Amino acid sequence: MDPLPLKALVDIDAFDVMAIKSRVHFRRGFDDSGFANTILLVEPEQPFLGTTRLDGLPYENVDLAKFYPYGSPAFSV
Amino acid sequence: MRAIRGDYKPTHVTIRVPVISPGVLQWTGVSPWMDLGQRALVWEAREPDTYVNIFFGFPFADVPDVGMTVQVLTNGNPKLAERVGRDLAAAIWRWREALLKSTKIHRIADGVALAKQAAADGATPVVLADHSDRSDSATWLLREIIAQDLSNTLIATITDARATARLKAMGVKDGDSFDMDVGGLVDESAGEPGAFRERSSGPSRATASSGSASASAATMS
Repeated sequence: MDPLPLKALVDIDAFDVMAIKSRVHFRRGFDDSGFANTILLVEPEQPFLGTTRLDGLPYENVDLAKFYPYGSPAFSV
Repeated sequence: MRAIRGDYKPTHVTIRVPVISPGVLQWTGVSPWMDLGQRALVWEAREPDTYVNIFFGFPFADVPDVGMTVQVLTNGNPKLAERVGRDLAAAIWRWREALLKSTKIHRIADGVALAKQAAADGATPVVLADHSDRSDSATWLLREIIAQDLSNTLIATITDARATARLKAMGVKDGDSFDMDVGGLVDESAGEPGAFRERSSGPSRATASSGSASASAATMS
């Protein structure tokens, strides 16, 4: 996601805050470009698809206890 | 091509590392995710014909292969592949706590409050980055922005095909104000519709993009 296409729709420079629906791919256009002075990543209380709280998801084929940080798996190389 | 010509014999090692993380925490613009990429590039520069893949893993697939994986390819040198693979896998494991803490995620109410403070401090533009849903209909952030009266905010975007159709039928043009509930409802993650209403502090405004099924940009002032 990039601020430039939005400029065709509205005068984005007139706003203090922009709320966007992207938490990963916005980095190039809003962060690495130097566009934003403040960046706040947010998510709702509920663990919907895309949540950072993976233990709130109904996994059927993954045992989260076998992975850090949800369990304490042994690992050595 | 080199393998077909016979001067490259692909010899690889694959090491799974039991670390799982959501994509939003896998941003390579900060350490130590950035350092993992750098470490792989240094190995490739030091050892010609060595190629490194570090898979951060997609945790929402619900398949047994989730988690992080290192894959190293060398030209017929299994010992080198093993050495490089172990080095990178060990780095991931050593840095696992920092990897999971490299990006801060706020609950929506906290994020909106912080945005309000940042705007008051002049640290603009402020970007509130949300990905509550996959339908683009979610209103969690919109409703909190209205509840906390965060002003001069552009919301881009909230999808609502019915609202867009109604606006078009009403002949609403870019910049016109309107009273309407938008977004939400398509599934649980979209939440309830959010309301744009004429308010004392100024009207809500909408921009409907032609040919699209989304109310592309709704703005408040």
